[in-house]
Amino acid sequence: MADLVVETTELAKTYSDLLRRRSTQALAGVSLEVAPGAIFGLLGQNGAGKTTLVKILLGLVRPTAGSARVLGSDPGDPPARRHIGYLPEQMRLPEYMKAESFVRYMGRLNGFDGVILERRIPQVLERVGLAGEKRPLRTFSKGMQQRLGLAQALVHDPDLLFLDEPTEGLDPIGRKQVRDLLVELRNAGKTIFLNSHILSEVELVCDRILILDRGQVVRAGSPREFTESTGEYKLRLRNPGEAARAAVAAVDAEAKWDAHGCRVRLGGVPELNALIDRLRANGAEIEAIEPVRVSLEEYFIQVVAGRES
Amino acid sequence: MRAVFFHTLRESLFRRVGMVFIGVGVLLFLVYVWSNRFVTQPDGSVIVRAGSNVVSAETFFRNNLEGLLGMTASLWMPLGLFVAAPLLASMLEKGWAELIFSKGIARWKLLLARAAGATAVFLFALVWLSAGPALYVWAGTGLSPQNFFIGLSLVLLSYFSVLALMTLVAVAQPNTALLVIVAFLQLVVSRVLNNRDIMLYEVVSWEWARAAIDWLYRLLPKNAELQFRAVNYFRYGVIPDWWAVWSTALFTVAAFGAACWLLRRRNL
Repeated sequence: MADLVVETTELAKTYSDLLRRRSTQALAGVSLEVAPGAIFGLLGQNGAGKTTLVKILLGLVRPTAGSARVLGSDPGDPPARRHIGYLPEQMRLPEYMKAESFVRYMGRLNGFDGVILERRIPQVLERVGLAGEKRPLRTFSKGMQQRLGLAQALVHDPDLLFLDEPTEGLDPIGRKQVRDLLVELRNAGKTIFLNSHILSEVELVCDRILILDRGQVVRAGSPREFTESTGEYKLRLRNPGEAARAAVAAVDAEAKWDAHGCRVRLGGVPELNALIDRLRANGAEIEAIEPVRVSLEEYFIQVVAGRES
Repeated sequence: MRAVFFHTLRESLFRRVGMVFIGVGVLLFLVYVWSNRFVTQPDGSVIVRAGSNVVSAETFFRNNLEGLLGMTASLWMPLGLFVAAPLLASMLEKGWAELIFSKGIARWKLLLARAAGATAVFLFALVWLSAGPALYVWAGTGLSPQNFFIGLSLVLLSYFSVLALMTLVAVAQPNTALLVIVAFLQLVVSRVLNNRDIMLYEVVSWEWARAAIDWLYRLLPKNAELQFRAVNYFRYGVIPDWWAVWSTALFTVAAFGAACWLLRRRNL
């Protein structure tokens, strides 16, 4: 496998509407490098350029400028695409087919055939929870279609996966199963590009995140970096009394109190430990201490709103 | 490519039109066999009982197969093209195109396999509608249908040319209704252009317009002429002028080539 799974340099795409003499810039100079064996989250508002970026990497859309390499080849190179799995956001499934024949067809389009394919089909269908499903696809619910979409993306055991909203239409258990599957695939050395609007999910599974806004990369990093501690801690105390309040006021006069404890801003871990010592010395009973973090959703909204303002 | 080809056949059966087309072909073949009986006379000659009529084998062979050829070109071929239209358009429908064109197979292979699948449906129907009856007549009369089959190959060329045009249009605008209109228009326009001296030049007097019409005639497939050539070949065994044949073949290759090139560059 190539050292970098995906590499883009100043990738740009402008959609032109010649009839209306209008053009829309979907991507404006995106450069990124993705190493193998990670789950890579693509975040952005609708129209931020996420799908265009993925489509360029799949060779479905031609870039206006810049360059891209996927698995060491040009995007759209058929032999390289045999190592890529793709779950599009919108799928139109052939109504008359059944799960098995559909996955078989998709596998064959990737040059997979024979005994290996026949062995692989029940495995992937079982993995996505569609084992033994014999009904025609027209009777499939949205959730089942989504599971089938995952199965077709996995049938040829790809090294790189592009998944556009893979948990859309799934119930909470189905979402958990998909998250577990993604982690399992990552642990097996696969690289996964995940497009999702469910940021809590992205936060749970992604190793790296890229935030796109109006075709540009505005932030890139790990979820941990984005959701780092705010310097505040939540203290939960049993029967917080005057002595406890005094101990807290000594380090943060503006601590916010409620019936169960307080939210206090501290300079760091040494200050936190000093506060704990003081509280214990004052006879306070500490039930829990929790650092206050920004959720990925809050961070995303801050970033996007900040750019818009 | 094989997978796409067989998937196209399967889809055509599901879409009913393909199934109905082939089903009608089988039914008409059975009716043909049932209504035309070959009887060997004591002197060894063969007569044909076609309903209440009795004709000599030669007369039946000449009239019946000529009619079959004409019907293939003017009725079965347009029907075959109408069956192909949804198969060509559906390949590029949103949600399906992303799925199949992201796979490890070249776009041109997907396109040509699709066109081949659509052609196969037409050929299956033709086996019953044209080839079957011709072989039945051959078995009954002993008269070789070689000229009939060469004539039929000219009709097939005509089919391929319109299919290529539809494929080209489908890549730019995948819409079934539009493709049906394009096929229908091409068949009508080829007839008009072939007779442009009497149908157009009497009302079009501008030189530049006549020149444009001439160019249009040269560029587009000569479906009407091919039908005429097919029937003529069956009658006389000669093609007096190959212009319609080679120019249509050239158009077919160019249109399929252009469709593949356009599809390669198309954003999906």
